Amino acid sequence: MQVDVAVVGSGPAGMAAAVEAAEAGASVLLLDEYAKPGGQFFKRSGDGFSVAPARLTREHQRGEALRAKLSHPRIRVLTRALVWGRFGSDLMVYREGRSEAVQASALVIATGAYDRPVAFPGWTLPGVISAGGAQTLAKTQWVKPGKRILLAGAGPFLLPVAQSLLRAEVTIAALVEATRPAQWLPHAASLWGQWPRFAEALDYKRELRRAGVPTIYGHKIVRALGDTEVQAAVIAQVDREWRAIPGTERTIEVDAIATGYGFLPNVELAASCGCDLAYDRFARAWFVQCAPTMTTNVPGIFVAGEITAIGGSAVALVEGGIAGLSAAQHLGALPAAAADARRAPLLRERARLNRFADALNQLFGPRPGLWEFLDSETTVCRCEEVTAGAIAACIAEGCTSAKAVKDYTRAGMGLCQGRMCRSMVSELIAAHRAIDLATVPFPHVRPPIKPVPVAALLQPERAAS
Amino acid sequence: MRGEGIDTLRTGGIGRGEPVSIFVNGEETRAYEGETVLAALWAIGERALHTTARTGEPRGFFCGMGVCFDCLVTIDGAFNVRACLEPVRAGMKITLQRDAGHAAGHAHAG
Repeated sequence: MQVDVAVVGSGPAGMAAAVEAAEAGASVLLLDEYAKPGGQFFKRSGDGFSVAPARLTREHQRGEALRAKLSHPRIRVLTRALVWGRFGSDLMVYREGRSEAVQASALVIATGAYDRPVAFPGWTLPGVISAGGAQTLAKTQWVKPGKRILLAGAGPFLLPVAQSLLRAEVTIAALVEATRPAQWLPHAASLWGQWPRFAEALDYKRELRRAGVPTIYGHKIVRALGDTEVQAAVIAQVDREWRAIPGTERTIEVDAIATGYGFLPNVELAASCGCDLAYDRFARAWFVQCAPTMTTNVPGIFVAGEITAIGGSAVALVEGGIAGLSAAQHLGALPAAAADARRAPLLRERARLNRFADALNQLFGPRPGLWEFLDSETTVCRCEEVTAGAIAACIAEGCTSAKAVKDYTRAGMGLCQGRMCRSMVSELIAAHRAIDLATVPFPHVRPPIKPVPVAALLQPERAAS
Repeated sequence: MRGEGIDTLRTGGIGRGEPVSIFVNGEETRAYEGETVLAALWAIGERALHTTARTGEPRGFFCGMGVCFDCLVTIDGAFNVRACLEPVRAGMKITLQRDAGHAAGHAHAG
């Protein structure tokens, strides 16, 4: 198959990129691993659901409006399609048991982010889930993650998650926020003027108050209790570095725990394509490096959205638009002057939104104390069942990278390919060796970036274009 | 049939797709078109979706969006299918991978 622009990921950034590129005259193939376009932010109920408007969240209408634009005649949407690597100009797409090569003159990677996994004793019990996972189950399937849930994490993303849970009739025992309002004041200047965001946050808070959900500030989850499933959560008060203060633990009975301590970007595809990564000290994670025009170091590859920095859907939409224009310009569908003119307002908007995003990242970015309670028996690598103690022992013997730890302990060798444990392994290396996390290298990424059956690779299908 | 009636984790008052029968470890179970396999299992309280290979501990889903590979189930003979991404189909046979860990020899089935 041959297209002008392939866009990987159909969240806000990918959808916006597809629409801009198509409107500029390019043929676009929009690929997504999930069953429906929309990504995480604009996720919606499956086919066949009918939901009263009062249950729908504020982003529903915007998501539907954006999805409607995908019916543009030059956009083709391919869902349940896993892009597993790129060899030369061949973008490899696995779908319905077969792998197919797509030739695209320009590639926009908008693969988004997932909830940062944070290990604590008991976190592998059924019922301990990510905040995004809790929201997905409630909002797209109208199934309760539990009857009574504890929501623990940091930052404003917990609020829409709580809203989705309430609208699915889940009882929220408490919303446990690691920061305290007093810590937000020094950032007031950067947050000034972002009134729509504040209005949004107040709406959420009102809904929580009406439902009687207590918010417990300055606390974090330290343990999940239960035999074969979650039966209770233990929380503790934290200091400014999110270290638990001894003697402040309390137990809350719940049958589910959702954690949302920020996000990790899905940089694997971009990294495997040769895109340079850059470390962000506030998010404590590696992102794809790009220019304001969303170009990367690899000619013809553009990026947008959360893989460039955690900024939320508003930034993602703007960046997607910029990337779509830049991709159209790259393949000659749009003259440079026209591309510049159309990008200019988007670049200004991006700069404005990024000031807000940066402030949020500084305020709610993970602090080192988040990893202190990895007692030696706690599982860090879920797939291969490698404990913090085993990883610490191999670091003590001289392992200085996630790659080395993987070779010695199998941590990161399972089906998730290290997406769950890699950040924690790197944190352990930095902590044990007392070095800056920025100096712990991000491991080399090779295709397939997610597991693909070998049978699909034996006879690659090349559909006639 | 399992999963009928109000004793599930499904939110009330929501219009759902056509009711269909699926089989969970051989037992006929109610599900609805438009649901994911994960939702259908979670709704009836099947939270220990598999047990791990090494220590045999129970695991449920963690991420719910195709990243963690902890919601793996066997569907119509295909091992290690991510329940969170798989839509329910009438008559599908789901086996929870308990006491087997990741099914040997099929570690990379998508």
